[in-house]
Amino acid sequence: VDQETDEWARIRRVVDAMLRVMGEEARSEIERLLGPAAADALAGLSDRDAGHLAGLLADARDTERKAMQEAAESSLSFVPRFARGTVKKIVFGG
Amino acid sequence: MSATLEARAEITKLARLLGTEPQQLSYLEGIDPDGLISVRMAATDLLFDDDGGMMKRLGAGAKLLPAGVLATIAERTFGPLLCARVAGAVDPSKAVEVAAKLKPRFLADVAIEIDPRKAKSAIGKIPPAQGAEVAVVLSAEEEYVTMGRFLAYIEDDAITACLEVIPDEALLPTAFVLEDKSRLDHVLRMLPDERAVNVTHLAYEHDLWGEALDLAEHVSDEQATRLADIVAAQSDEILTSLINSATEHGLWPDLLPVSRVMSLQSRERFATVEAISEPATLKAIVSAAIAETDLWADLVMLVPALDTDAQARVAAEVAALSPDRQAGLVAAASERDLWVPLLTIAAQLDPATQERMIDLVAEADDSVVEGLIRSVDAADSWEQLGDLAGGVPPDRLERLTAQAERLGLGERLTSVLSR
Repeated sequence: VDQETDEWARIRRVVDAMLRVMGEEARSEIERLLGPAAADALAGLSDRDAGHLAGLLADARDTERKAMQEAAESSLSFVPRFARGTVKKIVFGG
Repeated sequence: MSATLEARAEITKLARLLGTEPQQLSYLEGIDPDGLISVRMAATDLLFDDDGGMMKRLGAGAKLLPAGVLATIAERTFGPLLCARVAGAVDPSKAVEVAAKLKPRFLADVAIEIDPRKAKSAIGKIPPAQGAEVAVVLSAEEEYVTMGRFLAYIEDDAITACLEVIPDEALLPTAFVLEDKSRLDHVLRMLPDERAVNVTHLAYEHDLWGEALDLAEHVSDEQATRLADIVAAQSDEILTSLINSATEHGLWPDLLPVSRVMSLQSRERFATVEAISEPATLKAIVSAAIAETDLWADLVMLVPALDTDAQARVAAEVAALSPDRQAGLVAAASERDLWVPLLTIAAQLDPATQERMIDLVAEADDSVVEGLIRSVDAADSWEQLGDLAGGVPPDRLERLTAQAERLGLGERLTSVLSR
């Protein structure tokens, strides 16, 4: 029983350490995405919540970029096929 | 607006921005509202400022084409997302010219994707009729956050037009997340009483009391009184729901100021609702009131309208406070000339606390003692003062009697003290 308890305690320590690292990474990601002022405002979040929010922000940014890319591609449909490459480069910067 | 409601409104807006539900962000409730605003602004920049260079090039290109061609390109090829992003880079007059040729459905989709901060000049020029058409689509889809952003930048006549078509169900949820709440007074002024009554019923049916209280806090006292009196005129069932919701969700810091702006008749009606005399409710009220001086003044005004048992419970809560806190409450009553309602509370206190209160007054500045005597005389509350001070040894009332003498009211005071 003691051995099992020791083993669980060791696992818990490892998991806690992993969560701490993940929380620190999430906070760095939030600061990178939103800047220091917003990151300061969120300093009180738990590691888990910081991770959740960082994930939402990254997902929202990726979704936005993808939607913009699709909208840009689709907008080129009115340009004759032979000119699309040039127009794309001029308007959308490549 | 209390921090609780302000944080809730900000979380609702942030959730909409990030494409999630507010409940998923409940862990943000403890963050300071100003901090949440900075988070939402930074998140808006993150999502909307990614392609600034491209938008400038597209905006420059838009100058070269006629509005009709641009409208066709917008609807057929660009789509709402690209249009929303490019709108901020297009000359506002040209943007309005193009918008006039677009269908309400398409414009509503653009409104959902737009960062109004970037396109406020164009949004401000939207004609009232077109604004109303867009509002119909947005409210049908419960796009309250979008409407809240949109309404913040349109002109007053466009707001009037929108208000006519926005259903009552959408009014409170939209007002709650409005970007510029200074406009709510104008909106409420234009809302007829029958619609305001209906909105009150909807607040009851959907537990939107937080949203309703938030509205009352962002309008002038005149409009808040109108709203508060409409609410107070409702059935016991509706008022009980309001009182219980305030207790359950910690909204007394928002409801007490509403009770203050009620007409006397409405306040008396509100105070007779049984739910307000529940011990848990009174505890929540007193807790809210002692946290802020202004709220304490609001409570002092409400107490005389409560029944005697409820007054005694409030007094018991006051008696349990530290002497410093009690001194603060006396000072607040003095500052706001609330001596007479304070006497109602004091009459219910135990003798020891009553004596402490009298001592606090006796040790105060002359102006405080004078204020008490003048208020008591103006309201003819000498009997109440006599009941309170009658048992106190005369030597501890010297300053009170001296001040009364100076004001020519010495005999009046002596007669009530000698009973």
